Amino acid sequence: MFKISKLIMVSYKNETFTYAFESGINYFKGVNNSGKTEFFSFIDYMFGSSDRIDKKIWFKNTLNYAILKFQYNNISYEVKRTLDREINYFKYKDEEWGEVINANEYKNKLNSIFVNNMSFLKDIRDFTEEDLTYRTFTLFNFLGEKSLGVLNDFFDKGKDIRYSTKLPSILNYIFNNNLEKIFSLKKQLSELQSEVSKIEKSINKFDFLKNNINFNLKKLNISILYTGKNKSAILDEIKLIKALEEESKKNSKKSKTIAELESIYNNLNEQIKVYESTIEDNRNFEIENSNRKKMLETLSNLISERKEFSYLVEPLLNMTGDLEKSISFNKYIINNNTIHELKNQREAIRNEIFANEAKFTCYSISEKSRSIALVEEYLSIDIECNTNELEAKRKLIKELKVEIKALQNSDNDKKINELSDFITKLYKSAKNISDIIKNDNDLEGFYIQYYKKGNLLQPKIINDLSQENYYIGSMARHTLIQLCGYLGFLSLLIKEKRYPLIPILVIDHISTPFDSCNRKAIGIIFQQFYKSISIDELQVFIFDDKNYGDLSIIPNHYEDLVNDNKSGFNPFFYEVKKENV
Amino acid sequence: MNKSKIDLELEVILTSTYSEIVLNVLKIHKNLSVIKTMVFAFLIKKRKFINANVYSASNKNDLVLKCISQLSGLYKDYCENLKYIISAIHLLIVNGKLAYNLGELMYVETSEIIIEEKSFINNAIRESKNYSDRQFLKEVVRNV
Repeated sequence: MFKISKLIMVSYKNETFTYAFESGINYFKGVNNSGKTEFFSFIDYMFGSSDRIDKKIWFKNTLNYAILKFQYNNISYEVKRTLDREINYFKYKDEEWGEVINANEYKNKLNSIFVNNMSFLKDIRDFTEEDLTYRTFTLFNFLGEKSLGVLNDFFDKGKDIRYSTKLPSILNYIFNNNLEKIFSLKKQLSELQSEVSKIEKSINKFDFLKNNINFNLKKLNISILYTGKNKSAILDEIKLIKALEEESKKNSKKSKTIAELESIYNNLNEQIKVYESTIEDNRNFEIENSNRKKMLETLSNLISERKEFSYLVEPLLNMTGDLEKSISFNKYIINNNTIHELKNQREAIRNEIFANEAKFTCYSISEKSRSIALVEEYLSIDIECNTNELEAKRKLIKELKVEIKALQNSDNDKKINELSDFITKLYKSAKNISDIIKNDNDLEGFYIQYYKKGNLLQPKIINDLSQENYYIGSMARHTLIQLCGYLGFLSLLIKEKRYPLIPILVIDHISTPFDSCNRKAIGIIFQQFYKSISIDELQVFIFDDKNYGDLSIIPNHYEDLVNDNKSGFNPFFYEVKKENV
Repeated sequence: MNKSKIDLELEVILTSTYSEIVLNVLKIHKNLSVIKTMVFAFLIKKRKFINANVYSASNKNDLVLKCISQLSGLYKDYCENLKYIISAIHLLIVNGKLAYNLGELMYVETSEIIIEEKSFINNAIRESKNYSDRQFLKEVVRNV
């Protein structure tokens, strides 16, 4: 069970004021400007939000700190927060206040309270790859005034980037069917990844050996390259050299001279450089214009030099001048690819140049014999170079990742449908009070379907033949559907008993979009809701300017924020009303 | 015209190289516009300085664009080579090896047997016939 029993507010002058709460519905009435929304967000603040309330005129210089007393699973806790976010206290009911703790510690303590099972947090972390705490789950606790009537991504806090990025993964987790399978796949995945890294390491080692062997082979003037498979061939060659036999020139491939290679290298280098610098310097059309200019200049120079070419050149000149009328269909990716390929060639040629240098260096016998010894030693190291295996494993990893992704996104349709059923039932329960709901109820096959994607509550008309989305306006209707959505989620989460959820629902000014008849539906919906869940399991806080009777709510606790002694939520704050002066 | 000896030598070598290349291209492809001939002749000559071809004959799509992309970073070089290519073309026309009509070059048939090498550049030249001259020039100017 959960219950916030008291909120004690203490001023700088050490005056205290206590708000007492009961299980079930706590209803606070307040006229405009009496601090309803402040109370709403103050509850969030007490549970660790990082609002800068010290900046707010409501609290500044009046409120010193506040103490929240609550029970959870039969343990009583008290938390104290000052206006400074970083000065907080935490204690059990029967203890003294301890040392100051900062906001992070404060949240960690609260997190430990609301997380029933640490291994669950680990699970959800493995699944979502995000750090989730009870703070993330406050998404389900607060229905503010601003997003009333929103059905698409309908959680109020979902608009906040800190929550919106995490919501999809939470929803994936809640509605997932394959948790166990995913865990086992993930385990498999991490094993595979470690194997792959092992293979990669051995391949690196192999590359090192291969390079060394080839380097030494060059010194020995052996034209075979070691590839990992031709060990015996190389050993044969070495044997020949040892026997001082002249190796037969088997290699007939005509190799290029160093001068040739160098000129190729320079050419490529130049081309790549120019391309890259033009990319950096110019935007596309500028390149085009400068190119055209260059072409025109070249051609005109040519004509002026050699008149006899004019029959060839003039049509070209005309056409170059005429280019603006067409567009280019080029794909930049082709260009980049070409340059990339050229770079590879450049690299290859560089290697070839280095390789060739060995040819023209003289090595002494001792150097050669050392090379022989080295090659033999390297060859004797038995190292696996199984690129095929690596490829296969990498492919497997890719497949596993895809499978995991698919499983993570697959939904537990049964659970979603149960949620939709619950929401629809809750919504329809107020059919005798609200004419909106009555209309909807009279439509045959009216159903509220929850969609995980987009976190959407979609009214539908479902009959035997078809199911159609039912788009209809009215903010009041949407607000009721949204409320049912919140309640549906809370009931789902509470009943599963494993999420780090604070079992409260805080609602701000929900009566806004309603007329006097339809707002009564709110109370009926709550009555229906508390038939499925006990008041000990979910505490509700409603802030509104209407009387609770108008919403047909039967509160377990009622309080008016404004009375003879205070002007609103913060009992120590007296506003000088400028308008009235 | 006061050209140094080395300039003249350069001109002779380049013009004759291009003459051979242009003639070979037209032998195979029979007819090709001046604009395209210039680009392909330049690329073929350039290929001698490239170790391996960037693209192989197994390419099937966007051959012309891929071909032109090899001009990237070489535009200045290309413009400098233009006069040699044009003078090569001119010489070939004057000597009756090629015929010229409205920007189009044609090979004057002889009874020589011609074997076409299957290569990327030949495929690209074939594909380039689908491009209008203007479009082709546009791609050249745009892409390099």
